[in-house]
Formats: sequence, C-alpha cells, structure tokens
Amino acid sequence: MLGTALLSASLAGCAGAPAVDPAAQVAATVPPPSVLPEQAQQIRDEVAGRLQAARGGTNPSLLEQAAVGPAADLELLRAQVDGPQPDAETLDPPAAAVLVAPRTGTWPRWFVAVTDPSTDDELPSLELYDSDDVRSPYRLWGRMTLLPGAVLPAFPDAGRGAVALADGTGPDRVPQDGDDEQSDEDELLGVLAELSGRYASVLADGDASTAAAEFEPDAFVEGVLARAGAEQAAVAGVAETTVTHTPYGDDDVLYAVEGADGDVLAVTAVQTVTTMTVLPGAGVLQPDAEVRAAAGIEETDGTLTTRSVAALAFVVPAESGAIRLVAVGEGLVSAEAS
Amino acid sequence: MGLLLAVVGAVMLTVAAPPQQVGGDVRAAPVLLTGPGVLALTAAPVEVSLDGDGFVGLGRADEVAAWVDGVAHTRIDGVAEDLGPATTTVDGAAPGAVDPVADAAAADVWQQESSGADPSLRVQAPSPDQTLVVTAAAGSTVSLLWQRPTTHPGAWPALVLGVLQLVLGLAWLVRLNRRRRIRRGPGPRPPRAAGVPA
Repeated sequence: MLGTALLSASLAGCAGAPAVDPAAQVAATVPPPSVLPEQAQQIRDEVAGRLQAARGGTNPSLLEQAAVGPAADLELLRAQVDGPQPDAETLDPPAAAVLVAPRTGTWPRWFVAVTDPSTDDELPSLELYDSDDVRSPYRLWGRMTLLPGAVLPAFPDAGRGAVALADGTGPDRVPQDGDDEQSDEDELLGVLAELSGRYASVLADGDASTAAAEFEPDAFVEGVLARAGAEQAAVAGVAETTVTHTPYGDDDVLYAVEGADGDVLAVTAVQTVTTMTVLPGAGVLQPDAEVRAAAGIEETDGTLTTRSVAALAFVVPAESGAIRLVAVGEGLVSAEAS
Repeated sequence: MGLLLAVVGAVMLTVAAPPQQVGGDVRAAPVLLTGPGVLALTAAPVEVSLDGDGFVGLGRADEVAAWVDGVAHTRIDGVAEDLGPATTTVDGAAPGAVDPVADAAAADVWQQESSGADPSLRVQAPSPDQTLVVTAAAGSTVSLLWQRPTTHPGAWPALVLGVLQLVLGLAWLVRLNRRRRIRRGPGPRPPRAAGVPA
C-alpha cells in the first residue's frame, strides 16, 4: 500500500512545467542604487574608451557620448588646441575606492566614483557620471582632484545606494517661502539651492563676501583671488580687467547625496569669465601660451575674453558648521579676441 | 513489491529522469526578453546564445522595462508543456522608430552584456528581478536554456524503500526457512523391524 502511494507520488512529480519561484513576486520597496559596483566599473571603462577614440581622432563624434558639462567643455578645447592625438596612450581608469550611487527608479541618473590612485604621486580624484535617460549612456560630467586632507562623508554600502537630494538640476524639493517653521531638511535644501551662487560670491570677493563665513577657507579661493590680482597687476596701465564668477550653465547644476551621518556630498560648478580690454593707444596684450592657442592669436590690441570652468565638490554638514570644499577640477574652456 | 519499488526508483533516476535542461530556440528579432521572474525559473544557471549578429544583455527588470517601453518585442513568459519557451508578442511603436540593436549596445543598464557575432551569456545566479534581453537582425535564432538539476521527487524514496523492503523480505524468508528446519529437528529414529537381530 505504501509502495503504491509512493509510486503514485513519484509519477505525479513528473508532470507539469517547473513553477516560478515565489520570490519572483516580491517587489522591492526601496529604489535600488543607480548602478552596481561592477556595472560602474564597466561604464567607466567604456567612457574612457570613447574618450580615447574621440581624442585620437578616429571618431570625434564619440565625444558627445563620452562627456557632458564641464568635462565636455574641457575636452572640446583640448581637441581644438591639441588636435587629434592618435598615439595618445590608453589610460584605463583606476579602480574606484568608493562608489556613491543614489537610490533611484527614474532618470536622469548619476553616480560618483572616487578613485584609488595607482601611484603615490597621484591624488585621488572624484569622477561624476551622468545619464539623461534609459537609452543614453553614462557620460563623464566632471573629474575633480581631491584636496589634500579632504574627508568625504561615509556612505552606505554601494549595493544599497544613498539618498539623493539633487539629480543635476537643483534640489529635488525646494522649500516653500512663507514657512514660518523651516525644518532642518528645508534649511539644508535651501543651502544646497544657493550653493554655487554663494561660492561664486566668495570667489569674487573673498573674505569681503557676505557668504564667506558659510565656507571653510580653502586653497582654491586663495588661488583664484591671487591669480586675478596678479593678472590685473600684469596688465595695469595696458588693459582694463573685469572678472565675473557665476554658477555654471543656464540652470544651476547640482548633484547632491546624503551620507550615512547626514552630511551631504554636493557637486556643482562655477564659471569664470575674464575680460581684458586694451586701453586706447596703450599697446597690445600678449596672453600665455594656452590662451593664445585657444584664441588662435599671438597678441591683441582689442578685447580678450577667456572663460574657465571649475567643477567643485563640497561637503555640506547636516547641522551647524561651515561648508568644506573637498575636490576641484578646473580649466580654461574658451578664449576669444575681438 | 520491494523489488518492484526498487526497480521503479532506479528507472526514475536513470532512463526516465526528467530533462536536465528546459528551454529551446526562439526567433530573436528584433527584441526578445524574459518576463517577470522567468529568468529564475529553475533557480539554476541560464545559458543564452544568439545565432547571428546582435546583442545579449542582462539587466534589472525595472530598467529593462523602461528601456523596452514602446518597442515591439517578444516576451518569454515561462516554459510550455513541451518544455520549450512559451512566448507572447507585444506590439510597440512603428517599426523603425528605434534601432533596438544599436540602442541596446549604447544603453548603460546592463549588468552583463555581449554583442557582435554570435553573442552569448551565462547567467550564473539568475535573480527574479533580472531580465534578459536579446536584440538581433531578422532571421536570427536565440537558444535559451535553463539548467534543471532535478530528479523525480519520489525516485530516491522509492529506491530506498524498495531496497529496504527487499532486504527485510529476504531476511524474513531466511528466518522462516530456519524455523522450518528447527521444527524438523533431529526427529524420531525410524523404528527397527521386530525380530531382526541387531
């Protein structure tokens, strides 16, 4: 009897197709990270390959698929000045020591990779990649060098992702005016919304800026102020100089993600336009080699306008404390003489 | 009965064992993808290979759903009764509105990918929230095989129980035979015939 029952059970097990695992029906409640670590490395390798192909002149149109924002501006000027470089050495991107991937279920998407330099001479860099939509590849938005001694917030495991506060076009939620009692989060979002403008003010006016107290003193501001002073001194009596610092792009660009302790890593950019107008009969301007190559001139007795872009990464403390600049990637992106 | 059970169990483990792979060939063009949970159907590795030029990619189900939105495609919903792939055709935008092969290669939603001539992938640990996508030119065929390291659920119990019954039966027979011999014992001596001298 038992044997017959077993026989029946055995044969019954042969019938039908395999069933779908019930776990398949379980829906994720928390959005996953924009990319997984292996995926991020693959994306970085592919972007490096496209950049290499664009620089080498084999396929300049690949630049559009390799870089965007400040990185694209810098690459365009590089191509204009240096021309195709077919013999350029292929540089594989170093492995990412830290991957910061915001949790998201929508586009645009982005992620940050902090590299682990292969030699002691190099400083770690912070790379930001951006993808507009599901069909568009990730592109390098900016590569910034970490400042010596910079400390980034701790982030949750890359497989879990971090909470995004801004996806490239300003904070996801802007606090409403008229709220008598602003929450800490609203206050933080307000700070993020004005980050690039406030920092541009510090670049222009230094300690005299009304925003100076909001930022820890940093070497980049000192360098920009010193350079502006030196340029003005160099052309004194020959040309009149104006320097303006403004947020980069038509809309303020901001990527922001919250660390495990609430501190925020915020990435934005500022552009600097320097105009030198030669005074009538005062002589000519002889810019440095980089500007001459970019403007295609040796000297000018008219107006010389240069534009540079700085991609900037800040740590914005969740509570009290000054905002710290932690990484910068800066360069000339255009020069014109008229 | 024990011998019968043991034989049935052995047969189910050998000649009548279920196939170790399910799946088969499907027309790949222009876009073929696995439906929700289908990739992890057997919780064992899945192998996919395309005959021809094209693209094979593995991505998160929600990202692939966004990528395929509006694109006509064939979806594998499971395994049919003949153990081949059961498919559904899903209409999309006008043909030519998108170039699935180029689009797939350009997108960055893939956790694993292979493209070019005869691309193939092995998904070692398929997850229910992953989707496999194959894009190819017309006329291409894709082979999709789920490993299925299974046996009949009753095969081993039948074999073990059958062998046990067989052993017990044999032991019982031996014991029965011994009892019979004991009962016979040395037995009474045959009577001598009277008047016959010793």
